[in-house]
Amino acid sequence: MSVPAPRRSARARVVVATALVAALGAIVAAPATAGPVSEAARRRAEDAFVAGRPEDLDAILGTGTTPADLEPIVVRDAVWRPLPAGSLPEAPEDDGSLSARRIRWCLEAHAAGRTISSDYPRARPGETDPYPRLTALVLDRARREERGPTGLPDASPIAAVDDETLRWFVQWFYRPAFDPTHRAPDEAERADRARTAEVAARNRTLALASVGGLCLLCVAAGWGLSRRRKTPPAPTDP
Amino acid sequence: MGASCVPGSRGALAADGVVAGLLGAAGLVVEIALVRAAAPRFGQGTHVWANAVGVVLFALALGGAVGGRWARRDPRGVAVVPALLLAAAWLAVAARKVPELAAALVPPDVSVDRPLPLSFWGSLALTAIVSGPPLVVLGAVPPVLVRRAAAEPGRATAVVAASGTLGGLLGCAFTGSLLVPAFGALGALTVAVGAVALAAVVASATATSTLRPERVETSVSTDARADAGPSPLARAAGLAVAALVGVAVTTAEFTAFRALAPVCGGTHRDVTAAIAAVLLALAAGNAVGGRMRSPAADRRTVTAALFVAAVVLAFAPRVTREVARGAGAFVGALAGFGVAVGALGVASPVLVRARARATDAGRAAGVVFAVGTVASLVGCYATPLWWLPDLGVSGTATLAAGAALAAAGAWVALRGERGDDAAAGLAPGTPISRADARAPDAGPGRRRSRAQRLGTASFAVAVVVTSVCTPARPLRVDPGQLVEVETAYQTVRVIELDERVPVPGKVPLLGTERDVRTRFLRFDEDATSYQSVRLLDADPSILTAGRYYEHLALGAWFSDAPWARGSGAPRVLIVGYAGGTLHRVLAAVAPADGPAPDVTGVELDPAVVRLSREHLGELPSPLRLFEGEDGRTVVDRLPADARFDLILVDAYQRTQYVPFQLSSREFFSACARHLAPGGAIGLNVNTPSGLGGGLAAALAATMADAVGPRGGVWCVPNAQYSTNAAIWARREAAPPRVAGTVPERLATATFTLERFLVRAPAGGTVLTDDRAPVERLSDAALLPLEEAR
Repeated sequence: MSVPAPRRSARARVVVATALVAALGAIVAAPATAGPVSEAARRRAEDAFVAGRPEDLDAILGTGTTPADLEPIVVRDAVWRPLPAGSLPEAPEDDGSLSARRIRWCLEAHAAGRTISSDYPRARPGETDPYPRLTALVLDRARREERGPTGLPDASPIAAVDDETLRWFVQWFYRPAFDPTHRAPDEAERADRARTAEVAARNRTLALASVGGLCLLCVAAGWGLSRRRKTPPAPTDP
Repeated sequence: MGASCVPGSRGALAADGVVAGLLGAAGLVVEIALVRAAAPRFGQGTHVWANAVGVVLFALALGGAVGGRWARRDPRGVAVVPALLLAAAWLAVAARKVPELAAALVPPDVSVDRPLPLSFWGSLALTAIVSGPPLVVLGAVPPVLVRRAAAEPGRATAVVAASGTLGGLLGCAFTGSLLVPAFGALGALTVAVGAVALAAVVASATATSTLRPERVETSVSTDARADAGPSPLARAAGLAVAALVGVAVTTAEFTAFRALAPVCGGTHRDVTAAIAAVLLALAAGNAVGGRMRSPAADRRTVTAALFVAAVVLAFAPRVTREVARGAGAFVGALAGFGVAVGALGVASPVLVRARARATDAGRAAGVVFAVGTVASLVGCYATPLWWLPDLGVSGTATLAAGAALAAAGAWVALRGERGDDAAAGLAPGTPISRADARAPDAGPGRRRSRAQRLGTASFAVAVVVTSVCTPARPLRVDPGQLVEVETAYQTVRVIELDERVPVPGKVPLLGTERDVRTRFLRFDEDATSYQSVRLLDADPSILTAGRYYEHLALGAWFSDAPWARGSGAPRVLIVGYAGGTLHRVLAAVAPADGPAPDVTGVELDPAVVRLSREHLGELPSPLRLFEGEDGRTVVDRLPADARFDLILVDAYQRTQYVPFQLSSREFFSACARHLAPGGAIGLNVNTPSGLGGGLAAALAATMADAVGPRGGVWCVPNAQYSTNAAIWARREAAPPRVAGTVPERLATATFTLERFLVRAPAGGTVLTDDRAPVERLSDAALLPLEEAR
């Protein structure tokens, strides 16, 4: 079936994002170092998840041992992009943290065959979410899968996160996907539309004239055939 | 012509039947071939077909009205031959200009793929210009043939109408399936030119048929007409019967195809069978109507026929489908709608016969033909555009039954008021000589001279030869076009060019752009759209540069699918195989050391598969391909234990419409029954106005209804190609998840599913075999964009 080519603006947004590609690429490509996972590594891991490279988490967080270190990997393997049963990493020791609760929730969901839902554990008062953007993505997915597109994109949790990458994602992809009226036509598209309208108007005039002409032709023919002959035709055959 | 065609003889009437048959065939060939010739610019949308059928019927109706007067002025039909030659010449010249005219009406610089406002008005203008004048002539000739025939008016009408119907049957049945694939649309128009020219040659042999005053029939004297003319009410009622019958016949024809599609599919073979059944029945009805003579017999039989038609029409969809299930499209259509249409066909010759008692036969035939045709015009526009979308198949059949019933009621009521003749809009009859009724114009005639007939034949041959010898050329030439092929269903162009595409980078959606040598299969009006694609010289990991094929192929990597579980090859059914792009992508994303997908494909148009093999490369294997078959019938025929892990529906007809029979609850229910545990149905849908558009919502609601309350339906808008979306349905409530082992090549599709998948919005209209207004929903989905343009 038919698929039109990307619109000019779609191409433009790819070009605009080139710099971001390079930056994200550098972050994701940074090698993991042995030992406990640093805040910077967690940040890089979250960047990778946000950018759509969850497969890079192992390289960044694979050496971690705490629930906070392993939360993104468990989220990915248990509910985001699930592995078959028996392939999940072992759960770290429960230290009562938000990450530990999330890991437990994810593993239970995986075991029960559930997917992400809106009862995904959130930070209690006084707790700090180590991965706020990842949490927003998870809650966004839960919302989409439970409630559908109504209210999107503004009602999405990711729209409320103050993050440059997510803002870019919402502006260039998320909003156009769920609110196609948002995109304003560029100059070339406006010119196309004007030209199309002009040709359509000409075609309408031509069509009406053609049909009208046909009617007139027939009316004239009917009128001509209805006129009485001045003299009756002479018999042509005795 | 030989001795049997002596003017006034039975042979002459038969010759006139041949003329009517040729003209009937030519009219239908022109109608269909003209749409196909202009389809590379206008497409084959519902509005384009409605315009074509509408203009043809309108011109024929105008011709009928003119023909009635012409018959009175020229009772021997002397002018038939030059008029037909003129029509053939016009058609020969105009047909050759169709590509240029269409290109002028949709200029190449207006780069729209679905040019709705342009194509609506453009197709109307083109059809009126090219086919209007000759079709007026084609419509005007039958009343003249009736007038000049030696037979009784009812019988003459029966012969002319039945012959025209049979000719139309041949034209309708073989233009799309045979003439266009063999000779191209312009070649088919040349065949129409030849048919008109041949009709002129045949007509020249009997152009001055003589009336035979010795044959006395019941009729009304001119004195009687003067003394006791029919009341305006009676006259109008007679025409109302003709009009209601015209509406009912056309509505029944359209509804028959719709009723049969879920059972028999939409192949040309099945459509031809349905058309043949309905038109044969109509011709038979005409013949029966023509054979009756006495007013009493007319009265009883027409009354009974109209009531029978009304009753049968009310049950026709169910009867047609049930019979077609066991006996095929032809018998099914004949058993249901055929019986009804045949019964309706009885009325026309009787109306002409009765009306001819008060006026001359040609005038009577002209008026009845014109009124019936104009009413058919109403049915032809209203049925596909409003009645079928709003009322469904059974509702529309009931409406047609109502029209038949109203016709019967009018007939019976007026007969009771003023006698039999009044029902036909006539005064009470007094038997007189037909020859007298035809006075004063009808005089003895003579056969055309040998020189005249030779001249006619020479001119006809010259027109045809000129038309045939005009060098053939493509209907449309685009940059990079390798070949253009006119298949039974559409025009396919193979295009090769460098296309700037987004090439995925390390991060999904954030890539660069690159020129990639690409081959497309483009159908009909596709300007930037395409139906199949293959990237030729790029890195094979690019696949199709993020096009929807990758998003559907992702279903093979859902976490419950065999590749993800390591349990063998996924069994995939592709409905709408086209050039095999989906299959190629599936094969390209198979695990490195894993089994290739086990694909079963269904493609309606075998020529598309052939062109794909020739120009896009060999198709992957294993593949079991049902070529030339409809997806609905293949799915219905699957063994009960056949199971698929993935059923991908990517079938479109006339470029832009999801086929009616592949969009209904019954179809998706059948698909769901063949899903393996954890399997999914994936549907590619146009969403130019977003997921909130009526088409996407209706299809999602239909799929949800089909998989039941334990299942679920989800939509995934395409972030890069924003006018497309995938709709996924599963018999499990959990939304689809991509397996962690998904290959890197599907990174963009995976990212899109994870970031954009939404539960399908509730509230869409559930489409059924009875009511599925997919054409209207598709057009509505396109209109906001086009109106904005």
